[in-house]
Amino acid sequence: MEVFARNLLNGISFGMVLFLAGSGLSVVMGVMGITNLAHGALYMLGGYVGWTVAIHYGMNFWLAVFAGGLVSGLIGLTIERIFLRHLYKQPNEQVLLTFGFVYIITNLCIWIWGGRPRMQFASPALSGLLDIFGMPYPITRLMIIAIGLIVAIVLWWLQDRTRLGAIVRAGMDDKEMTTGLGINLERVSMFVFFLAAFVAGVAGVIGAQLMGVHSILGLDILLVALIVVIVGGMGSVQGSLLGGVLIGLIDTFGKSLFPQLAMFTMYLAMIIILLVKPSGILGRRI
Amino acid sequence: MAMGKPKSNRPSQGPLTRLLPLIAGGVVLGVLPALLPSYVQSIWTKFLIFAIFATSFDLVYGHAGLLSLGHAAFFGAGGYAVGVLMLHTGVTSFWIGLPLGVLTATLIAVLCGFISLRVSGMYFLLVTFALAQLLYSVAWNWLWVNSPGMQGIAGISLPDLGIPSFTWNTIYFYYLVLILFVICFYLVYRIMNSPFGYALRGIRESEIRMQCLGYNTWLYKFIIFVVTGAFAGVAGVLFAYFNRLISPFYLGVGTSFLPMCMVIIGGSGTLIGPVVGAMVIVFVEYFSSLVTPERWPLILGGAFVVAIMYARGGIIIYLVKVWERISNRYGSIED
Amino acid sequence: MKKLMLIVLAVLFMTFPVFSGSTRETSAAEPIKIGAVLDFTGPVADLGPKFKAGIELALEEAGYKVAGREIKLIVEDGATDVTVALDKFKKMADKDQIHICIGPLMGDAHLAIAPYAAEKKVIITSLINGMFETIKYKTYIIYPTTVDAQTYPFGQYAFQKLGYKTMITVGANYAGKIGYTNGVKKGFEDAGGKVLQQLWPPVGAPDYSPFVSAIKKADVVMFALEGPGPVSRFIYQYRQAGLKMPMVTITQDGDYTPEALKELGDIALGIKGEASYSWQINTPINQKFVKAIKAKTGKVPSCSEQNGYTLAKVMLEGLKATGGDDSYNKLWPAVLKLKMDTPQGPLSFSPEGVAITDVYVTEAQKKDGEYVLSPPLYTVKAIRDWRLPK
Repeated sequence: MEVFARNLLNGISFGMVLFLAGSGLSVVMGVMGITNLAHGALYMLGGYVGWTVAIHYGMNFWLAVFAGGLVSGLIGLTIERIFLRHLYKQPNEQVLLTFGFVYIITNLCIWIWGGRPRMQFASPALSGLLDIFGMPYPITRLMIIAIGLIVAIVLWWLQDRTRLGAIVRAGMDDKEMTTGLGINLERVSMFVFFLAAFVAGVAGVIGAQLMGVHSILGLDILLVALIVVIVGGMGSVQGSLLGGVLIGLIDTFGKSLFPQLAMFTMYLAMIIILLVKPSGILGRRI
Repeated sequence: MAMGKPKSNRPSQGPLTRLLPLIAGGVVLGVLPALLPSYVQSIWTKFLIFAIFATSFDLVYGHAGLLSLGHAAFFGAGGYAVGVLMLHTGVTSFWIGLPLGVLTATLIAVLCGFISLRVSGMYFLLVTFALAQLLYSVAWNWLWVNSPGMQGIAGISLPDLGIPSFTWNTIYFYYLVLILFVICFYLVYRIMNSPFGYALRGIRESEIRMQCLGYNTWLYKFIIFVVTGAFAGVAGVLFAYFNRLISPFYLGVGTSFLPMCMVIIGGSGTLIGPVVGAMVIVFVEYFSSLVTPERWPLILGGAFVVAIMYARGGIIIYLVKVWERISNRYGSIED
Repeated sequence: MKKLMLIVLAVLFMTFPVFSGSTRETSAAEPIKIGAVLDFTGPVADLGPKFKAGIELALEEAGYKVAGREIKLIVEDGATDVTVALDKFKKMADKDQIHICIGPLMGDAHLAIAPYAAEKKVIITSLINGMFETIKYKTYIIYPTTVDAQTYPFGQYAFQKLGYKTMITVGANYAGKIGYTNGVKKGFEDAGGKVLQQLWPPVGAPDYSPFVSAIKKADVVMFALEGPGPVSRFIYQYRQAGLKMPMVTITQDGDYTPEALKELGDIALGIKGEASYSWQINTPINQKFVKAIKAKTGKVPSCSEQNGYTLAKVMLEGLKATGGDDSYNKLWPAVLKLKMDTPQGPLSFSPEGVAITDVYVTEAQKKDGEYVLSPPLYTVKAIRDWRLPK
């Protein structure tokens, strides 16, 4: 029983990191039509920046989280403003461009931080065990679940309950009409993209508590985020949350029960979804 | 020789100007390498192998408009077929290895095509990407396709041509690759200029329009996907022999990225573009490895981004323009 | 004329190496080129500079000269990647015409390079262990011994001296660590113990908690993971899960460098393991070596510096014996005949090219406020892979 409970919480906490990593990608893809393959690299960049703030300079962990998000957000914004903006409605070229940035960002990270992986780090206040019905469980993981839920609620609120969210969705459907109504769509797009990149950077620091930071994360996390998007469906926060938690649970239980299939559990889930409901469980459009 | 050049009003070219690129190409590819030191010869060989790979990618991306992010799956599959054949049966015959490799790559392409063409647009990209990574994991974990004690298959020997008392050397292998390159190149040229090729370009322009005209677009897309997989498999087979090692890396996104770069930088949708792109990338990689090997991915990524933003037609457009200006001058004299 | 210029330029561009490379046969006055494939990027990026420091120290002590010929060291970054290592090796063998290569580190890179090295007649050496499968190529110096043989005595030690009867192994799922794990298992079971469960997390697993939660009950848990990052993650998550069983591991090379020990801190204390070297070995030759490395790098040596140093010295001694002839046919038999004392202990070679050395048991300890590798707690002399002909 304890093993089950532990796996459950581990799966959910890991899934929260996946949600954080994938939500930005999903929202930007579904709502802005931009496939940002550099999303994983932004996650990694955030993680490195967070490490620098928290470990190298020994400052407050939450400051590190914010710093990681900020830097990734700004870099993401730069990519959007200077490059992606000119490739509107050319999805193939957008994908290719962002893929080129994966290489650029990854190599810059290696240049700045060196090839050595960074071990996981967390806020000292959180490093302890909490007693849950007699089972000791790390506080960091509980905090990750909490943060994931908070971010999910905030993003969902933005998406469904604010004018901002409505504008973005309208702009995706019909740009001319929306701008014709006097709405500054450019500014809104910028903000959404920045937000997505910001969340990716935050995810990088939060996830570093479990996984540390290393230079292959750019591609590793991208892959996982893509699977989350495929399984959960793109365009909605709910989809990413569901996809993330589901994949987290599948991966954790899979590795625990069938260790030989360790690498495949995620892919199996993806293929099943593709064969059964290609647009993802909560997907809006194909 | 059709190069996908834009049509323009100019005096018709005399036969000499038509042949000159062909002759120059023949000299550069056929004669020059024989005069070079063996290490440079192997760089040329690598370039030709990747030229085949890049051309196959351009066929599915530049012509059919399908961005297959996992094209290395077919490249690697061809290579693995050769490796596994040697590993488990000791057979190194080229006449078995090549068809087996192409067949394997084609089968993988059929499977991947079925799954990925169920969706379109953005999802198609993601699925091709994820499928290639899945293949990567399989190759990593499945003991049967790995040399004992490692990931991948090492010690792949040069192919046995069945010619008595023939021993390999760098330039002979180069010529083998050159022959296959010419064959593939010609086949792609024929496909490009066939009704099938025109239909593909129509699908790239507007799939709906083609569907209204009665074309079974799914079938066309599927066929070209599989065909390009087969060509990528040829490149993979040659690469396995060239590199003497095949590993999961050659199925993954790091390898898929290379033909994408070559096509974009060289010029997509043309026949020569990918070849030019392959030449540029392979040789710049070589030079960068002499000077600043750690920064190569940065250079590659940077050049790629620049090419996408500002030089969409690729280097080939520039070369074509230059060529036109020269041929105008000489063409009018010949007339 | 522009097109002609373009063609000429392109051709020059591609044949530039003709003018820059050298393909002349080495003559007696030519420097001996020693290549090294080390890792400066990737999971074990820390180790590259250490090996380099060791190699350079040995060459410096010899004045970069042997038997009247200069020595030129060419170092390439293998990036902990099989494909890169093979590429770099090919470049050095073809273009730079080396006949001696120190490294690469990873077992699978050995397997990939060995056939090529055998063809080109280049002697390669391992860096921290070697793969038994490469022996057939007769071009490989395996030092300090093969992967499995290295940990076999520790398996015996765990049963006989530490008193554990049952064990669970957690090994990263790739050649090097599979070999280590198998060695421990064989040693442990040959001595009378029983391995109840073997877990193989994939390389680069972001999260070890599923594996930790699958660990059954046994006397001891042995883990062998691919670097200080994964090691720390595993120990951390093991402790977080509240597991109380003692742990043992492989306390050498990349996992237990001084930097890694500092990052691991208290959680690594008390975990014993096999090591081929400890800087606290109490022999005059080692003390001299430790002093020299401290002067060169400012830190005490880990086994990386020692191995680089000893391997370079082996090559130098071999070259001395052949009078400076670095061709394979002369150098290979000369090296096999060597018997030396090294900072690590006595060294000789089997006829197949496998080194015969001592191996130790050590643990992490805190000494004067610093985390270091302890002196040997136990020594097994003259390890020899059991599969070699007697």
